[in-house]
Amino acid sequence: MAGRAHVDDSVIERRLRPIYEWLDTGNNKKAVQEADKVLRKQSTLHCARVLKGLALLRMSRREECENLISAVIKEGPTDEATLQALTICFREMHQPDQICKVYEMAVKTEPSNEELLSHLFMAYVRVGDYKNQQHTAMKLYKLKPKNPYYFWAVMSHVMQAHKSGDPKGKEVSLLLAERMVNNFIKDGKIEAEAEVMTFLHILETQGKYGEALGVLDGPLAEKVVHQPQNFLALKRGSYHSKLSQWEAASSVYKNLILEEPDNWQHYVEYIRTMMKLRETDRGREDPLVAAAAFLSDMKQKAESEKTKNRGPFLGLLQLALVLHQQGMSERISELCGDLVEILHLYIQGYGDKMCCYGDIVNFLPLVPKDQISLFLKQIKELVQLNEEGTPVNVEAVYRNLCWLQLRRALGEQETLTPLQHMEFSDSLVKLYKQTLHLSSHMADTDIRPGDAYLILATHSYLKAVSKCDGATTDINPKHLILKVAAILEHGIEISKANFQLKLLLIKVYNILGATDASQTVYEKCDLKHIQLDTLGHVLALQALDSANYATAADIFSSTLKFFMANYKDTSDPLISSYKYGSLTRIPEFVEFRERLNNSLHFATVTAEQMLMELTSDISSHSHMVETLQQMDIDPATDKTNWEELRNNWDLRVMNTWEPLSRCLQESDIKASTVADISMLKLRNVTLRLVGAASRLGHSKVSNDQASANKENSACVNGEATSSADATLLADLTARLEEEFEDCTRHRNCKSPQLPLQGPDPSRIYLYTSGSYIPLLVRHARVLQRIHKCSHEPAGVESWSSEIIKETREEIEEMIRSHMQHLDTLQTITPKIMPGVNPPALTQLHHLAQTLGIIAILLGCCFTILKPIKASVSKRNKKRKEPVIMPEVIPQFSSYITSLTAHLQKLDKATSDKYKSIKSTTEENIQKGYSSVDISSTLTSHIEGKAVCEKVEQSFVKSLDRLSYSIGSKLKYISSLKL
Amino acid sequence: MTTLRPFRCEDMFHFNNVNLDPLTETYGLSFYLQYLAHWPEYFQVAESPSGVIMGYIMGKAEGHGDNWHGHVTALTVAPEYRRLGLAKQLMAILEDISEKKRCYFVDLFVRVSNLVAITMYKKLGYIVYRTVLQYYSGDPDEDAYDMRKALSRDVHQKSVVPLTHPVRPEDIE
Repeated sequence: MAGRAHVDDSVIERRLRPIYEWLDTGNNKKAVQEADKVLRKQSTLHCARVLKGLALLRMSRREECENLISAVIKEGPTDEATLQALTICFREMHQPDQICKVYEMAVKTEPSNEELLSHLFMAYVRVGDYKNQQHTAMKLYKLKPKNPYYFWAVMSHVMQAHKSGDPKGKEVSLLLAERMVNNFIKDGKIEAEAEVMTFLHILETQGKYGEALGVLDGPLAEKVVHQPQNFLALKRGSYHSKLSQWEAASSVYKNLILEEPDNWQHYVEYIRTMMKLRETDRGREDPLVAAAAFLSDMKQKAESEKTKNRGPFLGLLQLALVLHQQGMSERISELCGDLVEILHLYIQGYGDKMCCYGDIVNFLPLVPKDQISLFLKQIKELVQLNEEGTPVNVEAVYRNLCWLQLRRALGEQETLTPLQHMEFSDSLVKLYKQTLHLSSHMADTDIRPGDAYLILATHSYLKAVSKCDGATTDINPKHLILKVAAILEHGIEISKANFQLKLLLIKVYNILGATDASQTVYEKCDLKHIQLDTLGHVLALQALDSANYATAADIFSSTLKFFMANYKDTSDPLISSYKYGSLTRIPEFVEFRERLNNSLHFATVTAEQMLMELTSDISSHSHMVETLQQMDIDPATDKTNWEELRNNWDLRVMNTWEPLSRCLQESDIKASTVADISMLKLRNVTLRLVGAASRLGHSKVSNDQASANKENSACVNGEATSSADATLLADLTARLEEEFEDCTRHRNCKSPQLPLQGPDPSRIYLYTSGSYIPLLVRHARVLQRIHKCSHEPAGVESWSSEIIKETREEIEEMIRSHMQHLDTLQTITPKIMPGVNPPALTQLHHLAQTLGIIAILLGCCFTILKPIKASVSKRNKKRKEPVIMPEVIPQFSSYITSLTAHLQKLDKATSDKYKSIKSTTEENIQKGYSSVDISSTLTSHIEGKAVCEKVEQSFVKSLDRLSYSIGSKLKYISSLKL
Repeated sequence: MTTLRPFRCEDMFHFNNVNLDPLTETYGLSFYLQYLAHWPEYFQVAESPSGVIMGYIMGKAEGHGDNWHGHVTALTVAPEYRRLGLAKQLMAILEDISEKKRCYFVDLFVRVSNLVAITMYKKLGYIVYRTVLQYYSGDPDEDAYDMRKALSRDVHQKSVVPLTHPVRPEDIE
């Protein structure tokens, strides 16, 4: 124990304590000072050195930390405090594998130290090294025969099976695990509930349901004591089902229904198993008759006992639904009776609850078409209205809403004209206002019953806009959408807890391209942690595409922070699962961690964040090189696990009452995910292309240095890497072109119109419809060619002028067309389509980003050409001959000159646009938007004005940002004159 | 009309309609996972027939000697599923498991301003055991009631004799 020489442990502990305290309070500087103080007394003390390293690490002095701790590790520390401190260091450096190494060494020194071994086991858990986990667990068990250690080994086998891709290997691991437990059972050593649960898990994974039933019937089941009441019964039911023992299964579920008449899963399973029983066993009495009789009994019982249970009322409807789905509709009336009557009864009982619609939505397809209007009439009659036609109390409001929602869902509003939609919405807003007083007593934390009027109204208003297509002069889409925004703002002010209104308002602002306004609402939603993934569709990429880079950067940064911490955040709970014996949770945790790690949103934000950083502000090549160095871009390989990418967006969170066929379908989500993945592919290749290009620029430099010193063998190496980089660039250019070709189905076609609660249309439609990628490809080719000429023996003479000419024409065309987009931009965009963010702003953003990448590629050309020009001039000067430049040099120069001229025009146009929009906005604000009709029965002109102001200010901000970005591109490119 | 079942990790991908409510905190991953690892049976979720998460309860068992008790860490129900007795059902599961674990009582903390919740807990048999000063940080800080209900093991109801003086957060075990 060299590190702790002769000083009493308690003394050491006392000396170290202040260091820990400073670290805990985040005062790393003080921690270093304190550690130095201790080290002056005891220069070799391991723990003090590591803690000093930790403090340095937290001060971003990683290299010093690494030096300190690697010196300590060489001395082979074994004391708990030092090893724990090392663990923290490596965790914070994201090197969990090093923790294993440290404990491996410690265990070698003290092989019978139980604590060290158990830490080693946990270190393996952190990295998912199941094989070593298992060995270590067995060592522990041999050292101290405790049950948990034995089961750590068992579970390690199970995890090996989960990880194994080879079915044979899987089988063997599971068999081994099963045998280990069986040996334990034979010896009567099973003690804890967790051990039985693990055994059941092993049997389930192997599909050995018969054996699992055996466990439930045997003495082991008595160990299961801490689970909810229905736990064993549910297991039993599921095992019988898996074994196709339908009679036994259905009888388990029947009993469960009797015991827990409101637990819905029992009904679903009972009906499913009874249907199966009918298929397999036709000999006896029809199981469906028995099921119907039982369910009807349950219903009658609930009716007579007047319980709060809602389940029994819907059992028969579930049976009818399953019959309907399985093509046996003809038996519905015989078995289930009059469905419309059951539904009516249910609504009569529960229509005054907010959840009523959600309870019955699944069963709506069961209402026969010819009975819809009668059914709705009956529901309407349940609503208690006053003489003005307004609901009289809160219950009546809910009933009224339920009726309205059913009307929409059953298709009664499908044929409304835009104007009718408008009128309908106006009447809902009026109802909202008239019933508001009923909720005046409610707490701020409760949502108002009438809020749903506003949501229904918003849906209809937006429908009016999307249907009107400019055909009706009575509707001004621009004004209407602003009016809707004002109504929603008003609703949120009153019902602060209602997130549905907030999500809807963000959508509305996004439709206008006013993401700065969206952000003010987004902040009220207070999204955190996993919500940054699941609700990433609400606002993130929209901010980027509307050139609201500050908002995008904020959201991207917190999103990435969440994902980066995922491994660290999930490791400790994994370790706890072993410690506390919830072993069966381990596969679930691992799967969860992987699902997050493979999030499509994570991958997209990672790529977009880097592209944004590389293209928005950078105005010189040296700044770009610096920025790029900070990024983790590997041009040679893309680490994305494409097969496993998952869209984790929660797209069911927003309310909708559309007919089932108009709701968001799984196929819509799938198609949009596929499109987003294609977009990600384009972006990732673009990033790698930038990485490869900048290497090429650089290898040229190092090459020059190398050839200056002919003795240096690096010259050869330099050539080799340079040619490899050139090949890589060529490959990636071809790849980008291929990926672009693959996108034909997204190009120049209208993006699909998805329901409002769905995702925004994929960004790829607009992006691939412009010539952004072809232009990147062209410039990459120019770079390739320039690099090639500068390396080939024939040298720069082999230059072909055609390529620059074509590139020049194309980029000029692009700038020209985007100047037109700029013209179409007004303070408030006239072209509004729900579900489509305004294209003009996005196209300008794409232009700015494309110019940013082009600047980088040209910067790399410049880096290659500059020394060539210098050496030619030097040579010619010596010979005192007139300077004859290789053709490529004047051509490149003239390209830069002409591009600069075009960019100057674009820059001026953008900045003029910014100024004009800014002054119009100021004027509008001053005039109080008197020309815009945006008041409603609910909202005053002042509220409407506030919304207009927000939206326009957001535009001003976006244009300011765009103008700055284009200005910096101009600066960058004009600095590339040879 | 609810499916009550153990909470699974994947539920976090769609518990937004519960967690977007301003009173429901969304924690970091490790918080949920630690509960699932340590007290999985105490983490139950209520799901609607269409698969929507209606609410959930998180809890734990802790304490020594006659302080061994079940604790409700979080209980939340989405706005549209309130006043249907869902919280009662979720509490019943937690109490049942606490009984099985031979706990003496169940306790929970609630904002003194949350009258709806306090009334509901009282209906379920909970009493205000003590007031914890400035337990909830915010602007301004808010006091909490520490509410308790004795379980069958506490035959003499010793755990539910209210304290006469409020305590500070640092004084609670």
